Amino acid sequence: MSRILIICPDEKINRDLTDLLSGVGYEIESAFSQEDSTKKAEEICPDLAIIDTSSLEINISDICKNLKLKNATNDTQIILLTSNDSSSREILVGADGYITKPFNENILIATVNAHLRIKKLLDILYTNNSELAKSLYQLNVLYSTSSQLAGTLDKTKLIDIMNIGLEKSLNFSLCLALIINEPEDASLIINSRYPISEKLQEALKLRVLVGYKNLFENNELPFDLSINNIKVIKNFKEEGELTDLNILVWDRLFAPISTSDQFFGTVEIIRQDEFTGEDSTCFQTVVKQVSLPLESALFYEELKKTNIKLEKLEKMKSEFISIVSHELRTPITSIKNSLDMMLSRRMGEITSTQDNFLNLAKRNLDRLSGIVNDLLDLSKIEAGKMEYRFEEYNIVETLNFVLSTFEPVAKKKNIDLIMDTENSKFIILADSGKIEQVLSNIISNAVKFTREGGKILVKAEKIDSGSLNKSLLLVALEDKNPDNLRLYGDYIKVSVKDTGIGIKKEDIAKVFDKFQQIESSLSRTTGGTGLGLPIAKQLLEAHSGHIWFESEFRKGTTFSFIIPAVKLENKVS
Amino acid sequence: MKKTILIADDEPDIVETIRFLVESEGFNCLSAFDGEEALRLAKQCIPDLIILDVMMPKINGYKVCRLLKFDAKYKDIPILMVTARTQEEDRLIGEKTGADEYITKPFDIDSILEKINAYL
Repeated sequence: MSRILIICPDEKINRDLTDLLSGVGYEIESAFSQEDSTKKAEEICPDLAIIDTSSLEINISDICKNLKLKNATNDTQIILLTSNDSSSREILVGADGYITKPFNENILIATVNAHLRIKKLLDILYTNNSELAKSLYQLNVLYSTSSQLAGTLDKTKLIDIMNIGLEKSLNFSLCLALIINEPEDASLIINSRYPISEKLQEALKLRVLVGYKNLFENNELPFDLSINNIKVIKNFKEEGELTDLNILVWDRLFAPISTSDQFFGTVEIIRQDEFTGEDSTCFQTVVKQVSLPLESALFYEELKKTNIKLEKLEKMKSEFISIVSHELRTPITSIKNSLDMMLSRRMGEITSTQDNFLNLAKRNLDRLSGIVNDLLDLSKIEAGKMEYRFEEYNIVETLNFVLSTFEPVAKKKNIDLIMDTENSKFIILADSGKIEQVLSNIISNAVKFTREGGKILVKAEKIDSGSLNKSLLLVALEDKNPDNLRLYGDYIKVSVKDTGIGIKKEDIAKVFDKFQQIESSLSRTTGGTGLGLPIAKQLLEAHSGHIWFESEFRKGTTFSFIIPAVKLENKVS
Repeated sequence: MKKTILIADDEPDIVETIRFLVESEGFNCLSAFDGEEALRLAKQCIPDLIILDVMMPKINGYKVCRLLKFDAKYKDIPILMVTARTQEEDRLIGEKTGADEYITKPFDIDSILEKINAYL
């Protein structure tokens, strides 16, 4: 019901107006003096005030100002009751309308009704406006929260940002965030305006756990994680202590922090005033926003831990291999020297059978020491401790030398070992010992896997980086992105083509893996650690080179590598 | 007169095989099983050549080598350093200690004889 305040020192007029308007159904309050009007206006916050201007006891302008300048009454409609129609002065000081005396009752009622309608519309407008402003504010908070969330991978910071966002937009008294760290282990982060008593804290802890359990019982989450250990982290804004257990019946909003396949915890906020539907939407949005970055943060944390563990393991492995290799060399030396001395007849004549078996022992010992050397090399390369002595030299010399060392084995297997170069001089900047090792590893494989009567063709040529088939190189690099392969200028390409057993399609990816020899039955007849190619690959990469291969099962394999060519023109000038 | 070679290695088996080898080539042989013993024998007997292992108890091979090479009385004795490490690392430390040759385990008898004969 609309409230009207009648301000009129004349008791008769005042009573007449009261009778008239209460008869229409309005709630009326009467004031007979200026002080009286101020007091009553504060008390009832009238929708409309009618002021009789005929009395000199009251100052119209002051009364209008008093009403219009106060928050509670600044929308109160003011109608002046004047004895003439020259009331423009009063209207200027803040009145909304006037009626001249003597007044017609119907006109008065109509005017009052019209102004009350204006008041009602203003009320609606202001309510909507303030709701709009609140929504706008929440939207702004949401926006700034989401942009802050995107900027960090730190779990604690993410929870902080969520807290600040919720506090700004929803003005909570208490926020309880339960974060599952590991199975059975959780943190309860309490952000509160005031410190919380132990008793209240226990009650809240229990409630959070019940909320968490309910999530599973209502099938909102696919699995149950038991929590045995809760660490409580408390942040308080102000001094004092909140002991009031009534807080437990205050209004609350609760939501799980989860993505479609991960669950991280729950959030609950509590305040004395009721939350609106919009508040709930805002809350859900903030919580949803934090879930995804939190997933990334936890994943990142996990990744960092695993990485450190892996690095440590890798280092231990390298050190272990290095120690074992060193330790193996001493006994190998004693055995080798003993065999050598028997074979050299320094210890007297031996039979041809003894010679055969001593040679067999020696061959296998050489193989063993080859493995030890490979292991040591690999552990050095992986630990970044391999040293390179770069110099400019002719790679064809290395080719000729390595080929000559394999000549006897090839001859024994009746394999044609052919060298083909378009030029006898290809200068590269490299550690010649390492390039020799690369070539030996490739050619020894070719000899190993080529049957009797086969052919091995070793070719060296100069090529332009543009003419290379990048897709083959990328297979060897285990990389799908051609942008990661940077090739400039001229290269010396060396290829070793055999007529061996070839490599099956499904085995292609394993060729450069450590300790991989494709068929286990094969390794028994051909020997080797399977370290030759991984070592060759890493040594070449240290020279800005690349290795790759093309193969056809049962037909043969071609291993090729490139290494940057040294520009001879520059040398001359 | 027979030339004398000092073999210093903490592995008795290595000492024994090298000893057999050099004796069969007609050299006299002295053995030491740690760095201290090697240093004492070297100073006492002044051998014509020393085969010196790096990893030895009490005083390691590098130090034995340095102590001898920096002493005018013994600096002319050729020293062959034997090591299970690879050559690159040896070259670096060896250059500072002044050894004459480096042999990496496992070595073969021909190469060690070749190196001995080059100095004697």
